[in-house]
Amino acid sequence: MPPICLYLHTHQPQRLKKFSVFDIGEHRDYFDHENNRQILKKVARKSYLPANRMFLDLIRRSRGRFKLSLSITGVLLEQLEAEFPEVLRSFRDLVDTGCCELVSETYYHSLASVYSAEEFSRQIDLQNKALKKHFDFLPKFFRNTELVYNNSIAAMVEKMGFDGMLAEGWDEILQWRSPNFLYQAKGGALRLLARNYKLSDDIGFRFSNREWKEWPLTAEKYTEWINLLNLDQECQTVNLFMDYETFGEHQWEETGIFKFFEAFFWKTMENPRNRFVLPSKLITEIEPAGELDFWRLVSWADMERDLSAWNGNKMQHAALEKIYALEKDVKEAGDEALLDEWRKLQTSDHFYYMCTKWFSDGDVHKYFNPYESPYESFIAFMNIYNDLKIKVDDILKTKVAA
Amino acid sequence: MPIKILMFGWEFPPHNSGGLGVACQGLAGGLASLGAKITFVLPKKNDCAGASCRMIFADEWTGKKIFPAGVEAIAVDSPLSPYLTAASYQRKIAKWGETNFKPQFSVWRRDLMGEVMRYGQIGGAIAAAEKFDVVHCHDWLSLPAGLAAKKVSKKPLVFHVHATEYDRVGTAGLNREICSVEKQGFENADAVAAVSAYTKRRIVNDYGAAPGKIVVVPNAVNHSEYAGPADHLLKLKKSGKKIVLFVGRLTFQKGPDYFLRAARAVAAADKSAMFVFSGAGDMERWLIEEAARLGLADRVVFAGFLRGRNLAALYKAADLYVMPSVSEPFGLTSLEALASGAPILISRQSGVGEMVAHCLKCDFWDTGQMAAKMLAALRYPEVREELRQNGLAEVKKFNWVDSARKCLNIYQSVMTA
Repeated sequence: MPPICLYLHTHQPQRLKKFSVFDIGEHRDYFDHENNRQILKKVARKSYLPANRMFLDLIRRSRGRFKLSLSITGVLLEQLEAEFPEVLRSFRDLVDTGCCELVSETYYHSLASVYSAEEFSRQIDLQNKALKKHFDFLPKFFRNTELVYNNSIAAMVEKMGFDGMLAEGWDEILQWRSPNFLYQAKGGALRLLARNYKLSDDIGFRFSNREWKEWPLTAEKYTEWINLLNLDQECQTVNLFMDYETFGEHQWEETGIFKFFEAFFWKTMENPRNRFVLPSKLITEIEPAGELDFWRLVSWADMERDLSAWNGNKMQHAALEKIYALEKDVKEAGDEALLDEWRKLQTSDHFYYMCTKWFSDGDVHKYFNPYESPYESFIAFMNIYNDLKIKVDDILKTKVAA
Repeated sequence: MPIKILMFGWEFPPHNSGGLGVACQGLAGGLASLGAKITFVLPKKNDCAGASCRMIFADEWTGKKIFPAGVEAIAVDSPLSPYLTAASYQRKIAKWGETNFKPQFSVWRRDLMGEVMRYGQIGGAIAAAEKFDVVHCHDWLSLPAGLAAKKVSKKPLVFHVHATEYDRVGTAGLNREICSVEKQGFENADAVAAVSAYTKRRIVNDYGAAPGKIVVVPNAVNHSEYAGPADHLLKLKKSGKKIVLFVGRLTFQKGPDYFLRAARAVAAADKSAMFVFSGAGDMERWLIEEAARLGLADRVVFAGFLRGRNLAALYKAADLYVMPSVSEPFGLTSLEALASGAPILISRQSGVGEMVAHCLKCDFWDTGQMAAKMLAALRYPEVREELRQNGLAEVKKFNWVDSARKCLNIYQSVMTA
């Protein structure tokens, strides 16, 4: 069996209020704190707390043979610190074992990598500071929002001093190659770990789907699939990347997700040669098998593996354009609170809620949407944008006057 | 053997005052295209040339009468209109008395209920003379006719509900007699077709009907009728005005007063907004006066009752179509607007609101929300464009053949029961 590299992405956005056109200029609070607190409370109870308990237990009982890498967005860390310190502590306990590697990203879970290089690097700095503050951890690996990746993003990330980055192991890019090897970015030294989307999504998406022909997924079956990877050639790694909320939230406890995962781990441990690895350790052990040319933007979302869930329609396009066009003025205004609000408006979830793809089919996009429709979410967002713009303009005007 | 349906209605385009006639025409067309033979009975003779079914006008009915080109009709002469209340019937009958009120049958009752019962008696007589497999009647006014036809022929009856008394007048103005006619229908019909899940719930909750025999048959739209050019109000639009449109009877059920209240707030905030009412009804005069009182005389246009190409072009000219209904069993005008490429804002108290995703929604009573959404739609062109595009694609799922197929399934189940 190849080494297993497990990575979980942890994030909750700061959802916006249902801000009316008539609220523009009133400068009301933009964020729906009560709803955000309720949702986070629920997710913590169903997912973060029990899963962290399980992971810590596996690390202890296996004497450190269980390892996992995690990213936790800055916007989530903020909410945890303010309202659920016990949850933050449970993450810290994991990191303190030394068996949990923290992966960096943009603090605001934004798409800044596509829209503003300056903002992108600034938000990574902020995230690194937050990881230092809460975990005393210096990250060496990076993951971009929704695993958005292309050659030029890789170049920016390498320049910021990271050793490696996570990307989607998408067939269109890999072609004949397998995701189960270490790669490096085109024209650079940045190491690349490609997500094995089939094996990742077996847990992340399909686990509880009774229509799936492999349902129910057992530890035996899943272990066998991983073993099969080595049938043709000795693989270097199997990269299982998914949302943290897979455990207990996307897949409820009743689906047996926790029991499955524990059984899977102990099953792999039956063979003393099998192991879980951390990204930073892995790249010290092996050399890249080759370069990957990500000639287009690739994400881990939908069948298209592109950005169309965030910028695929005219509303999303306009909203993204407007918010990033404000960058110069917001920075010139120099008000920290304003800057933070502007950055929170960049969180990719806001644009995801405006997605109209398959909206009428009531699919996964709808499940996570706090709004009645993509149209309502766009309207609320634009109303808030216009309110923020007034605040920025007012500050700039008084600056000019003074 | 094609299935033969004896259908009772009371209005049919081009002589309709609302969506009911449009729905009957659409459904009959869909059924005919699936090979069903329909004999459609109307209370009163009118010109329904081009209809896809045989028409009988009960007012002329003296036996069998064949119309050319497969279109046959039977009608009963009475001032029946689906949207009359008992009180407005009294006013109308007084007017008819002065002009063309010519009773043909022995006794004319001077009230609406008597009129309905008389249509019912003729319905029974027609049923005795006709050959058919199933009776299908639309709303309470034709229900006694349907029940009589069922009794005479021993054929199963399908009661199609387009609106209930609760929808039309709300709890306060309920006419108990009408409710009891409707209740009889729910009890005695072999199956009930409801135009939406919303209406099905109302029938179950308000009338205590058995949910097991109610099947949802959504209305649809004839897409080709709304594919014409946008050639209305061009000058107005060129001058930068944006048009917010209301189409429907100007009456309590449709919420034109809520629309006007929201319009007042929008007009104050957006100088380019114009408001167009298309339709007629008992609230028309009040609305005109109220608009003037609110200082909106130059912002509100009353276009009167429009149909056909004029209506289609008006939908196309609209920057936003609003359906603020207090209780809307279905909401055909929303589909017409979507098919014309107009973005829509509709009341949550509507059947169509549960079936269409690509729209804006609000509660009819929350005029603040309604105004905010109108204003947002006028302010952000991207919302209008996405609503328009996605709405056009989504509305294609509504077609009369599918609805007719659902009816055929109902006929099959009641005929074999």
